[in-house]
Amino acid sequence: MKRKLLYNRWMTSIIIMGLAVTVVVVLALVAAGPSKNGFTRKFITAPLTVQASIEKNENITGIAGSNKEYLFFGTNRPDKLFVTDHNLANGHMINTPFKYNKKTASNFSFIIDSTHIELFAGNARTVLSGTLNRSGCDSFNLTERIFTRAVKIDSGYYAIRRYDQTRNQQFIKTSPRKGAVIITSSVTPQYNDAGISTDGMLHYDPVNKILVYISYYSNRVYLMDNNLIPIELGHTVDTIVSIPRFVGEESEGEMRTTLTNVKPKRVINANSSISKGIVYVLSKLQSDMEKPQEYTSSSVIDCYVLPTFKYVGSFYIPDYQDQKLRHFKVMDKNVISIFKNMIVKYPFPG
Amino acid sequence: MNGHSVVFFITKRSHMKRSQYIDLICMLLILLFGYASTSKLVEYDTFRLQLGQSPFISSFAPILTWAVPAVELLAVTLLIPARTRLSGLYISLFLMTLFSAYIYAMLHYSFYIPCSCGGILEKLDWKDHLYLNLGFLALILTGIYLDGAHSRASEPGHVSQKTASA
Repeated sequence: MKRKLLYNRWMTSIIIMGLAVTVVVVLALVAAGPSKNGFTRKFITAPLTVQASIEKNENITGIAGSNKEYLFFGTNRPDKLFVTDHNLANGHMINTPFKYNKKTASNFSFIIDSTHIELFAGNARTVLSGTLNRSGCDSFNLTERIFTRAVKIDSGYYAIRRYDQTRNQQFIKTSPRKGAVIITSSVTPQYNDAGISTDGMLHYDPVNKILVYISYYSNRVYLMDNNLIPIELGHTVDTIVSIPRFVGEESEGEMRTTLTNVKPKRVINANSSISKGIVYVLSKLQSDMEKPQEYTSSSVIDCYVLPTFKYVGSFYIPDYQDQKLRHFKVMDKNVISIFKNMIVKYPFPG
Repeated sequence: MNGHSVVFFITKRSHMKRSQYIDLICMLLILLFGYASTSKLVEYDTFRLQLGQSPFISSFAPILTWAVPAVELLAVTLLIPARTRLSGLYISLFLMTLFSAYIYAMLHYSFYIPCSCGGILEKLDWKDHLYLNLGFLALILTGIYLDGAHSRASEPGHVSQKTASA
């Protein structure tokens, strides 16, 4: 009697387990069908067509800003800018108000607004401020620790992502006069890997007064108000939800601990730009509905509207002379793009 | 004591032990499923988003967002009274096998690995999660086995061989 009871129980258990495994197998087989990456895109305009272009050398690394007359491009030196007019003509180098300094040059970015120029020097922990075509600048210590990302927010404040006292990174709101007024470690997950897994791009949207932090290695997007209070955990259109861990090995040296990648990084969101409440993200993932030939000969930009970070559509920037897009910036109704040795301007119908 | 009596060697003392083991297993399952379902419902939006981005189940995400915590809560409810405990253990067995098979499939056949777990379970990596699930699977099977023996021992008129021979 007891044997029969136990036999029935085991049989029931085996049937239940078999049923559960069958459910997963069926789901996996269905998922292995035509759909591969698990997401689709909606294209809002035809691939962009070139309006103007200019050759550049390898020293030009990014788009620093613009004023009414000129476009400014950052170089690998804090004391040099590349300048063109809005038709990408008359390209020439100019000097910035800042002097070359090895520490400053090791990690910096420019912001140009009209004639005002600022340089964020992460390793030097400072922001340098000056005026174009004038020598001399002001230097402010932004933080006592090295920072990796910085943007200017309202009324003299800056939002930065910096190293904390452990092996993580944190966001702070700071001003040269008052110092850090808000410090938060709760925006991005902490993995004791110097913040590498959660590395990303920081933007400020003055229209909605929102800080946008877009991950490089997952689809996570962190939206904060200008007091660094998280308001939304958004995501890019793809499906890479988990934050991959790259750092696993560490070795103690005499002076410092070295963290080593244990697997290659897989970039999901490579570059981004913000303009008039819309975030543009250069994605490195192909959606299911895209034709491989179209995708491999172009770079895809996904558009998200703030304050919700809702996906509104995508467009292609075709490869230029077989070169892939490296950086881009949406400015008014144009997209300025940087390729390996070309700068290209596209009119943007959106 | 002959061979026959060894098979039915369920003394009152061992009967109590079995009952306590079942109680312990059920309590662990109630804690696990109670916590998992609550955290999914509390972080409903995140859970819905994560399920929607899971490669195997994205099409069923709207249903599963409610169904998974609902079945977990059903298991918790059935595990509490002794008379429905077996049904609760069977539902737990189904859920845990499903989760384990899903994790195994994700680890071996998915090109990326999202996480749809709630609360502190999200901190576990997928392999640890699989080991945790397999541990609970073993516990559930033990619970079903013990419940079978316990039910038999509790049947009216059943007298253990040792007691009978005493």
